[in-house]
Amino acid sequence: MSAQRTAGMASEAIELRNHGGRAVACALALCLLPSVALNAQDGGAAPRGTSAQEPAQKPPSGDPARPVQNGPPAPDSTPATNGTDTTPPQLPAGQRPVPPGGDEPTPEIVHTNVLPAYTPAYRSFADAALLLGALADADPTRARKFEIGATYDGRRVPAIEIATPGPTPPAERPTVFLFGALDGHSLSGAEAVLATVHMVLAAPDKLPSDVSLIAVPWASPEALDAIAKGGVSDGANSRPVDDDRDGAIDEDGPDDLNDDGFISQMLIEDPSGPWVRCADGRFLAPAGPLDQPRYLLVPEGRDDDHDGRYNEDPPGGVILDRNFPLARTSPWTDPRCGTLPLSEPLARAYADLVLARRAALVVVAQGNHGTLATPGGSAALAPLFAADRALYERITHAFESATGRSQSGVLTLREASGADRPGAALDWFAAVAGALSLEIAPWGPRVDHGGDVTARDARYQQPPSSDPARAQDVARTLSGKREPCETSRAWAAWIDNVHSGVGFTNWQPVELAGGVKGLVGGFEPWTILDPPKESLPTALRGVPEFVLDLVGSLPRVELAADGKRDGELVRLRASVKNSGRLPTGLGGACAARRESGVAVELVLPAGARLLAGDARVDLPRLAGEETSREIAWLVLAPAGSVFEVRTSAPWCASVAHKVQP
Amino acid sequence: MRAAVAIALLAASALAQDGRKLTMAPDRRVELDLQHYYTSAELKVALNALATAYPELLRLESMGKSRGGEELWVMTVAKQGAVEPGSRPAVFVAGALGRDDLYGTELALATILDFAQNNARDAALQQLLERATVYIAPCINPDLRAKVFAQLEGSPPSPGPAVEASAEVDFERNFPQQWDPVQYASSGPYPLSAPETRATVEFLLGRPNVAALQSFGPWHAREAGSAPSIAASDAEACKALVANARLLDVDHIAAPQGSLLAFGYEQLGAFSFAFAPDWGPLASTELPGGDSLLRASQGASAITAKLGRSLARLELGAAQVERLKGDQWQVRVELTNAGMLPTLSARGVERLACASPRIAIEGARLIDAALVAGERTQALTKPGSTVAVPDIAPQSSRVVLLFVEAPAETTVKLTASSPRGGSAAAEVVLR
Repeated sequence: MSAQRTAGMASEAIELRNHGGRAVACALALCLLPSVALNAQDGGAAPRGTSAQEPAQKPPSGDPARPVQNGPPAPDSTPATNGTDTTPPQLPAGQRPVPPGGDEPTPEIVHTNVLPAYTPAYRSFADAALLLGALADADPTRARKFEIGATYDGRRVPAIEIATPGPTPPAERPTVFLFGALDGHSLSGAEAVLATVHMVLAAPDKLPSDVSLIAVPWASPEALDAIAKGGVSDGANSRPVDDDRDGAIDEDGPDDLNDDGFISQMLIEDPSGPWVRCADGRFLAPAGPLDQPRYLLVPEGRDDDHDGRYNEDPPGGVILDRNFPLARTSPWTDPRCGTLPLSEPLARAYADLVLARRAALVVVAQGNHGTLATPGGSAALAPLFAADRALYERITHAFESATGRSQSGVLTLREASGADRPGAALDWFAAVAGALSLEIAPWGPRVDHGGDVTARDARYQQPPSSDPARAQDVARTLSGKREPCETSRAWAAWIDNVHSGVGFTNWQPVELAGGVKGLVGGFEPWTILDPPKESLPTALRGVPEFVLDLVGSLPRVELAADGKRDGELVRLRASVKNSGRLPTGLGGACAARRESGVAVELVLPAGARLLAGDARVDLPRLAGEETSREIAWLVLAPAGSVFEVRTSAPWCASVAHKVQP
Repeated sequence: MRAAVAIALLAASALAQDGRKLTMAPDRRVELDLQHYYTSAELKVALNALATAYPELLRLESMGKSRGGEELWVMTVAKQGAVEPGSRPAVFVAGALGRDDLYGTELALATILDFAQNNARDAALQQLLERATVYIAPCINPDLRAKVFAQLEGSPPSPGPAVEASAEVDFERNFPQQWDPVQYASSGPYPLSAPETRATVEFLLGRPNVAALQSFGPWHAREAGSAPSIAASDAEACKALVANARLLDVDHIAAPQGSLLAFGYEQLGAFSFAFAPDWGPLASTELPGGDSLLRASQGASAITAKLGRSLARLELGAAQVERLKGDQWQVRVELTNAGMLPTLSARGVERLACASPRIAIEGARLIDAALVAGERTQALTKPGSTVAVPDIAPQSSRVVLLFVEAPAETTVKLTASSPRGGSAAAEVVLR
């Protein structure tokens, strides 16, 4: 009984909340849990873009000619009793995976000192590492490839550091970090990081000479590599975890019950289930008091361990982006978050690296919300980041300009994702490491508008309301059936209007052991978690430009200092200007965070004595283009004394100025 | 102070716990002075001397190293027997986590010494160490102790990794449960950022048999009227332990957010206590004097022994056999927890902290099993040839029906075990 797994992440409800706290929810199964194509003939997966060398199989999802499956039910007599969980499925043993781009080779990498061309593509871990090496080799004076941490299966994770040669060692400069796909499934995020690295190397002036940039395109290699090879993963690493704490490990993974080549989702009729089907039968909504029939939502498969739950202990692992400490879920409620905060050595290596540097900006490229998200993975964390809302608004506008996208103002992680994001790295990077931290999701339901708007004929031209509260109000049709949530509508609009209706397998009945009735269906792979190959360039458009614009806007302190001597009495004064567009640090208060203000320090020469003023003055953070108040010192010093005034701020290179009054 | 901390392994002090009536001399293979504070070097010598002198009882290992490079010692105290120490219910004692319990090292050391010297002449102690295990980590924060002792001696702390390391993180804020970097700068950049706290947690996670944790006070009492921090049934189980003792459970103290005790109870589901000696009037920055240390040492070992004796203890009652048909039999057996604590705390059950009791059957094929609950019976899960039984409250029993198949006159061996309740075996003849 082989365990199988979809490419989806653990199922959970999507919640869209308005400021008043009302919620509209729909099934994540329909939004975040695509099924995975399995090659029915040779055991290989067949996601879109499969090359001509592949034997005839299910047409690729990207093929507009491909019909949506509405095949007959595939009964299954496997024993089952009662499903409760939605843990992601996985491929059966022996299935030969095929990369999302099919067997089409990625561009060959030749190591020279010429910058290789960058083409958006889905690559394997090895190909991505090769490309990173080639990029580093192209400009060895500025770039170096290095390895950071190790995965559970022992792979060293490649990273690149880019810094213009200069008097200040790169390790002492403000540092920009780019992490791709910490969530373990956003290959488009990994590509966004590679594209940005390429752009930095192609245009050296994009990176200020006093700033370092460290990029880890494949931040969660085990899961990403499985997906890139056409396999499946929910983003977890390969650490064996006894998810259901029954003493057996990985004993209840999903199965392809209907032999359609996909591991999909499964609805099981249950009078106390939390879901009902919507008016558009593809989608689910939370069940109300009188709604029937109700369903449990689980990954497709049998109850392999006969414990009454379906597929609750699949192979793997810990999702790195749930393993960070802030607002992390407990392991007894979500085994994917890890036994302890930063229990995964790789996650800890990232945390330690960021702590070891003067982290100015951290960009995590991942997700499928298609927007720019700011810290705040849970409602409880929102106050921690509220002080910087104005800053985030400006950055959001810049993101919209650079990418041509629009979003409804500043979105926290929770708002952008439509659900809590416990243990997200982004929150920790901001709250404790004190870095300006942003998540960019290259892919999302509103990213790819298609080329021909006049051809649209679908059910979902526009979501009925962008206001979740209103959406809740209108969430029932006249027939009394519920309407899907806005995110489901948006994906449906993309599938129907842009993608020729391809990308969703309609629910098909299956029979489980004990007479339990189920329905199998859901999104197909390479539909919503990552864009189809042909949509990847669109997903990346403007992202590198936006990131590098931010890098160019980092604060830069300029120190003005002078002195006036009257005999042995010297009056010194200094002020600091932030000539960058971003502030010198974050607002808000977190006791364990590094200071975000500006420090000014007077270094006295031998024989001098400070009469008035403090040798070190801590100023509040400076906004972009802001100048500090003047600081004055009164010093008794012999003639010819040379004073040094130094200033530093967490996101800025330190500056020193010598004064000889 | 210099004189006080000088190595003094010769001043004898074989402690006897309060109230014991002993008729034999202590087994003094090693003698330690318990009226001074031990440097890391002295502690290493003392612990190694003990482990070497009492190999049948003590095993010394290191959980890891401090940031200053000192070993984080842990002594496993358990009499050699048929059951491995790791399979017996256990108490974990942690000393010197922070500034408030620097004396914990000496109290922990005194406990090891007392157990080693007195178990042969104290039947209750001997019984405890035969059926349970006591893990004692005398010093979780050696770097901080070194720094404080240097300050007490009037010498400025010499620069070095130990001194630098001890300045940053408060270990009692660095454990994962309720870790709060927003409120407390000393909580560290992330939970378990200190190698000492990480080593401690990794040690504990590798030992699901740890049913109780003990550290040293003082602690602030939990505010009256504040929400209970412990499950009601767990509070009830702790009542007998905390009565008339300077032992406080996590329901009575305001365990700091991010403390070891909070982690122990909330994640491991281990009953967590602090022993707070009565030092009398003492400035918060002052360490207790030698005489006070000696007095407190006697209480400390008694408290740890009391905790150990309270651990869950599985017992199998006499089995009743009834022939059903042919070679099929019903065996009715009573599984009792004779301890003062449950086989797993209510919080531990919530946290799925460890497996519930199991009954393994040898000599017959297990067909099915059921739990008798009053007038009703309820089917039990049956992984292979074992039966999983729900956790058992203190001084309570569960009646289990085992349906087995074997020829008449077959001797069937039943073995009940749970990580925090120990094990018990019985044989039954099918007739």
